[in-house]
Amino acid sequence: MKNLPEDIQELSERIKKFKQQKQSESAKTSKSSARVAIEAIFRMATEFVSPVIIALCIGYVADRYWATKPILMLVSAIFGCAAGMLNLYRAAQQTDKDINKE
Amino acid sequence: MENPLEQFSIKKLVPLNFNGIDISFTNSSLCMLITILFVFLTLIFCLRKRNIIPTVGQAFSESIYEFIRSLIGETMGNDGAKYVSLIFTLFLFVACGNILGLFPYSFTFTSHIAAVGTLSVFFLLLNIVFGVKRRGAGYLRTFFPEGLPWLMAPLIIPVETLSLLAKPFSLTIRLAVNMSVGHIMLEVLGSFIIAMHFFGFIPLVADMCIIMFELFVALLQAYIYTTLSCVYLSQAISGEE
Repeated sequence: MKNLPEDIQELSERIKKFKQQKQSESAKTSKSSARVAIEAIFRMATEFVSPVIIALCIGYVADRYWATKPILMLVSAIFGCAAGMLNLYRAAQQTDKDINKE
Repeated sequence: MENPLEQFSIKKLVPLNFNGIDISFTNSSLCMLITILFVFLTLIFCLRKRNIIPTVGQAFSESIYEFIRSLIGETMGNDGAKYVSLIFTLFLFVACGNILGLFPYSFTFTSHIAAVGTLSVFFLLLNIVFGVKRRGAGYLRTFFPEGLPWLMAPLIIPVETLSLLAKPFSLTIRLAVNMSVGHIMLEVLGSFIIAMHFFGFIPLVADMCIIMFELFVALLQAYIYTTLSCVYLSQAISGEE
């Protein structure tokens, strides 16, 4: 049977190892969180604007084709804003999922 | 001061015309070709000796490959394994295009909406093909998610269609704008170096810092472009939004 001081030494070594492991794990998580944050920043910026611009372009071309200036452009702008909000919501959901995964 | 936007002008190197369509070989085409050759030759050089204990070159190329594999694993799970080569090629093309554009007398084709837009639209079409192949007619659910009342169709279908069309547009704008802005800043600061005579070292130091920052941005933007392409591909094949 091991004597007490040896047991304590072994235990302290195990605690030290566990702490080191925990530290490296938390470092990994923070790195991944940074990656998630960078992705989110660059994604959100264009996620709302792009459907609006696409919708405005489609509306403009349709208006010129059917000579309905500016009705179709206004209608498509509303749809564009809705699509932009939907994209933003989905991007936020994705970011939330990525954060929870870590 | 020179026009800072002049660096983005397309110059015809070999004028070509096909049935009235201008298909000239330009400085942009040349830089794309150089990028492809650079990637191809670097990988051949790095992987000329394939050993169990890797050389520096082999370890370098394997680490990029592993990075892309882990990226696909994070975004697409096990389904993504067969798209590794596609995403790997995409990442290397965009990253090397961004970096080679930083060299003097080079041309940044990734700052052009036409070049990046074509790549993004091609990727959107691939997404649709993979989505239809995997889910069949179920892919149409992208435009009208399950569980919604049919009365909502006139509202939801245009919104979902716009959302899909906006994907390549947002990818393109993000990359092209980020690359253009950095190059414009470099050019403007560069013109101050001579204009400020003795104090020209101040913009010179700033230019050097911005070049380092641009190198980081070049890799970061390639990473963002690749990650979001993976996310869009994952949405297309799994149907999850």
